[in-house]
Amino acid sequence: MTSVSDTHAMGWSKDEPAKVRVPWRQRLQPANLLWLFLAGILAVLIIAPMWTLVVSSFTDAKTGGWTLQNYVEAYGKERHITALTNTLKMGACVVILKLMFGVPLAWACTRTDMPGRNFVRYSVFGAFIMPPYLAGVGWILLAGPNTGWINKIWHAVSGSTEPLVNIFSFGGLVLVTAIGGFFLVFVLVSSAFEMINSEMEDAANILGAGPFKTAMKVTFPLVMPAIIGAALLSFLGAIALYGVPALISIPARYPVVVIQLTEFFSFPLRIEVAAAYSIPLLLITAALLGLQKLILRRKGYVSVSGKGGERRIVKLGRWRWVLFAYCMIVVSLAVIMPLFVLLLAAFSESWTTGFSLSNLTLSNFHYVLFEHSSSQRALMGSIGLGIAAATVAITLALFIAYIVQRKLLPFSSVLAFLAVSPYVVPGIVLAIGFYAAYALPPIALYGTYMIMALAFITRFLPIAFTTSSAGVRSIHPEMEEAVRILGGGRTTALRHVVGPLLKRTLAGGWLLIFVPAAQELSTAIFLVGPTTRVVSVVLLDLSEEGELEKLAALGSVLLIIIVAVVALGMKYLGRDFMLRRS
Amino acid sequence: MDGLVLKNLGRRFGAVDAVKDFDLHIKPGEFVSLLGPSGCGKTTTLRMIAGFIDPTSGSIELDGKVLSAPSGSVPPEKRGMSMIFQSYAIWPNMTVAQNVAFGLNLRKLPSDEVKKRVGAVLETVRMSHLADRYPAELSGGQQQRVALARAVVIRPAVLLLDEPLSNLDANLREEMRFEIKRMHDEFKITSVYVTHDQGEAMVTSDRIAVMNNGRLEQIDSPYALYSRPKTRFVASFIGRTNFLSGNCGNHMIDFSGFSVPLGMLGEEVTGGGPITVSIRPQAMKLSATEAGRDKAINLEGSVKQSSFLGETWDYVFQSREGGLQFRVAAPPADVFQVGAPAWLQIDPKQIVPIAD
Amino acid sequence: MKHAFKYLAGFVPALLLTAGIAGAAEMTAGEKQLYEAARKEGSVTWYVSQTTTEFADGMCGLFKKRYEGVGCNVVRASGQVIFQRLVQELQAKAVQGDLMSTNDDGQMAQLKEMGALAQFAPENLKDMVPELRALADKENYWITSGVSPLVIAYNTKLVTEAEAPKNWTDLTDPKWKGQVAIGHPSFSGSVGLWTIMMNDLYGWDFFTKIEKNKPQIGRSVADGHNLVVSGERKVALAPLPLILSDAAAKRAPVAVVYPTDGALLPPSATAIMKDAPHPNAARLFENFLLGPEIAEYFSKDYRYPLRAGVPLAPGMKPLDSYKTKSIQISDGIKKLPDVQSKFRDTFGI
Repeated sequence: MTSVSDTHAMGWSKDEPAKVRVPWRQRLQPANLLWLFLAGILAVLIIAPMWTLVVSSFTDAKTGGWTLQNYVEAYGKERHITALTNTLKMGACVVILKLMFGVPLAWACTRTDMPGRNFVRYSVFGAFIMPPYLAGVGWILLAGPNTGWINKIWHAVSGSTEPLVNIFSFGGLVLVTAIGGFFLVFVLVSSAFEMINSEMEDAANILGAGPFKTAMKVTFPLVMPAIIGAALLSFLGAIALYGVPALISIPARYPVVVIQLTEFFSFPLRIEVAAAYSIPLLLITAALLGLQKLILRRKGYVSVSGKGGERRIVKLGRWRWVLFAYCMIVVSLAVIMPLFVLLLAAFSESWTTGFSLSNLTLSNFHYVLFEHSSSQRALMGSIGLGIAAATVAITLALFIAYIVQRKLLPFSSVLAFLAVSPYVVPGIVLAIGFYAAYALPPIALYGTYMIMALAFITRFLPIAFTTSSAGVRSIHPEMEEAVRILGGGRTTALRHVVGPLLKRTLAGGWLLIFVPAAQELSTAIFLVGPTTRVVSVVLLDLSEEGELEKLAALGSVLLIIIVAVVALGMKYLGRDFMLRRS
Repeated sequence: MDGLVLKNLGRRFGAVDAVKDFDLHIKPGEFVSLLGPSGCGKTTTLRMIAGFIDPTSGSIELDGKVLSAPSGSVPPEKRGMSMIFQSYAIWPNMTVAQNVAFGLNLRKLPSDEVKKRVGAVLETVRMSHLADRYPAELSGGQQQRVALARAVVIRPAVLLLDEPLSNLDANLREEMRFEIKRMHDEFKITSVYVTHDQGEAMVTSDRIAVMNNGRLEQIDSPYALYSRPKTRFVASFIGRTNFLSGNCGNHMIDFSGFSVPLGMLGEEVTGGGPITVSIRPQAMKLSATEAGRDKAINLEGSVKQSSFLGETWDYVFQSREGGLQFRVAAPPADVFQVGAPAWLQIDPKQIVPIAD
Repeated sequence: MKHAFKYLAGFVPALLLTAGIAGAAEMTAGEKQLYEAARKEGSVTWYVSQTTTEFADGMCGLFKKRYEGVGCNVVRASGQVIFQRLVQELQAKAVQGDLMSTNDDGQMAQLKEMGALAQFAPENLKDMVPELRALADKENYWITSGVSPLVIAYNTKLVTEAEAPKNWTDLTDPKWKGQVAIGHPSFSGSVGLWTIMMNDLYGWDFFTKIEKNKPQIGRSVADGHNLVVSGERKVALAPLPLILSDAAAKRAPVAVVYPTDGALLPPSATAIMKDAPHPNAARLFENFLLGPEIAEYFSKDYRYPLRAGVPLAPGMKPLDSYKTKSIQISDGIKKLPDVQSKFRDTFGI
């Protein structure tokens, strides 16, 4: 039922989609049990917390009856509405800034002859490794209104006493949020650029369009789906981020949703109101997803997602230096400047006195490594949770992806849908759902690593599933059929062929989860218990005490550990696994 | 019954019959091709033989043992068959030697025996020097040889080939056809070969089963299939042909412009009424003069089109009486100008009545 | 770098050792009994907002020194956050903290009302400064575990003594525009009390005026002190011990102003949870807080020692030598939600 021409062009995927279906009566009992088992896990991870969240938003805390009072309380104050509109404003501005950072850099690194492309790539990757709240602290050191280094230099140069830049402002909030997340834009848009066949651009050239016109009229419209997808993810990331607003929006006096949520979580504790208050975040996300679908469908973009062809880079002439300068500005803002001051502060007695030999010390490191009561355990906790979340999420996702891709079980698409659905739930909302569902009796997981691990697994399951699914899809089913016809069972095929072939993909996916999971703050903030604190939470507490040098030292230790793990991973994978497709 | 027997085999996908009422008996050591256009059900049939798909009706038996039936099937790994896939499915994480040894290791053969047999089969496919390479370092043809070696080394009861040459370029394909033929002659493995390329089928096969719309149209040796097609589909799918409609009666077939006595045909025709025949371009001869007066069928007309194909001329001849058009093959030396008058002789033995 | 680490690694424990020996004393019979029971429990988990992490870690270190084999876990956060955590645990019926120390005794009153606290009268109560002892709960649901007056800190490099504010209302002077730092009553317990005090003294007008100076709003009171130390802000609401210890050690250019209209005197309180997982360790720890080691440790760090007869650190003014104000517990509970809400409305956060 195949023909040479179309199998060649499209791979095996269209090949008799129904052929692997198994008739109902042959569906063995164990297979159904497996389906139920996986569905059960996903129900625990996803459905129960979200359902509890929605239900508790309509529940009277005292009587347990049905009420709308939580919504009245959540939206009855002007201040609460302001926080909501502020968040949307901030989210929109962050998206614009992230796109301004990510898209030109992605284009420069994939399609042009700009110098230093690899340096820019690695720097952007550095932005991925650096957690947003550390970048935030770096920027407080740089642009605090009176003692920030930039302002001090400005004061010295200009004689003015007014700050040049003030990080404790709306602009500061947007900048720091944006630099923490434009990595994602870069990666998504880069891979889209790499999918475009140069012939499409040649076609425009031959009709008389110059390089700039071609870029604007052909190239960028072709990567539009990727840009829209990245914008959506950026928005979600921005509105749900906790660390940066905690550092900046309180002094900047720009209330946002996550800060308001912490008020509902303070005494008197009003989880139900918090639940009611987080429902709009879910609705906004759903609306944006719908909008994305609508835009992409109307323009019929689907056709461009095909195979990559030959790709040539654009010769920019002297403009390549202009582009290079722009890229350097972006990576300086995002990585180099904050990382530099952070490291300097970590080795300083006092960050305000500036650089001098007498100011150099290792005492901050000694303090956070050996004296601070919870930092050692927090480091272990963060790394342990990162490892656990990445391992479990990848394993679970691999099972689901395999079953879905090979259509081994009925209704496997339900599993796929569930596995990607946490993607639309902001981390902080997820945490509230987990708290409402599992923290309290009868399950009473409050204060355990278990509840955090579950929440982290859920949070990163979509990444795991997407990676695993792509991996499984890349393995031709005939690879496994070849094992079976030669006398091996399905498990033999999994062990000798699928496993080894997926090793690299899975390791890459594992790192993609480990890095953010080891730094995760937004989900952790409401779930940590006294003995289960993670580094991100300890860092936030240090920032509250104003211990910026010690914070910088602990943050550096975390960064070093993460970089070491990533370096090991890269050595194993043999290439920069995230920045380029094979 | 010895050999591979497909009895009344059928497979439905939803409301569609991918394969229906398929009967086939492949004798031990025989090489049979399943030939047909895409969507004809040949791959489904092959995958049912392999055990990847279960039939919804009928059965598959091997040497008297039922392998597949709607009530239950032997899984692929228990059939003792092997298969060459369209994508080759060479495992990229194993070397050439490891790929070939895989099936033997699954059979728990002693390692020196494995080594010996791997060495021998790689010798046969002329891949010994590349035994330690990884598949990514091989060309398409070399990968194909590895697939071949991996499939035959276990001495399978049945070898299944799923369009194994479709991803190769033309020259290599030609070469590999003979390679497959050679391997079959050497090992005498019962083989089922799925292809949509009649050339491949003809070179390799003892018999070809032509399939259309999930049904078997005709199974015969390559020569019989070409010279005596039984259906319009087979006649047109295998090579080129001329279809002629006539009327049968009174021991004659009447075509517009000429008639042929039934007794002159190569086979017996019974009954009367409308009839369709197939006449291959090679069954006719074109002359500049009315040379073949003695021939039973000699039509006057002219050459309408001509194209030179290298090994033959391809002419379109139109008869004066009845205005019938024929495509005629002629040797390179027989040159006719377009518009020139010509005479066409038809060998009545090669006029084949077909079912419409 | 390796060398420096080795040096530090040897030095710090030695320092702790000398500190430990100084205050050691014989154990009483009751203490011994508690110690034995505590050892079986293993460790104590201490929720604290009363001091910084570093200082609390030091107290835990002294505790572990005196009572070998009993662990001590510090969980430090700002007052409201710790309180929220505890309430969360009570609601979850999964109390993990054994005892809690806060600068807002109003929280204790609320916990007592919820039935969450255990009664306990430590042996060492008898040696306490009577005035401080009197600040605690009459029914021994909590003890006074410290007093850290909230005062004004200023940066001596940026502000001369003459320029420095004299009282709280001076902070509303436009000359401090962009140079003031205060805490947030929704995050910090003592700032909550301070907000009530200022509202009682001057009405909400004080806050609308100070808002015009665009104060930087931190989460805890320590934040304000650090902002002045770094020079990010010139003046700030800050706890006295932090200022005095930094100033005395000449670590930072910072000095203290005792506002003429009264420093806030928030009594820090420590209580044992009724459902404490380690009740004996908690009792042992609470008694230890009132013991000689901690009194000395406090005194060294420019805090008011809780024990009678322990000398004040040099340069520290006796509590009765300047004007202080306290907020009645019932007042605090009643007024806090209102000022928190007003604060959010005025400052927009």
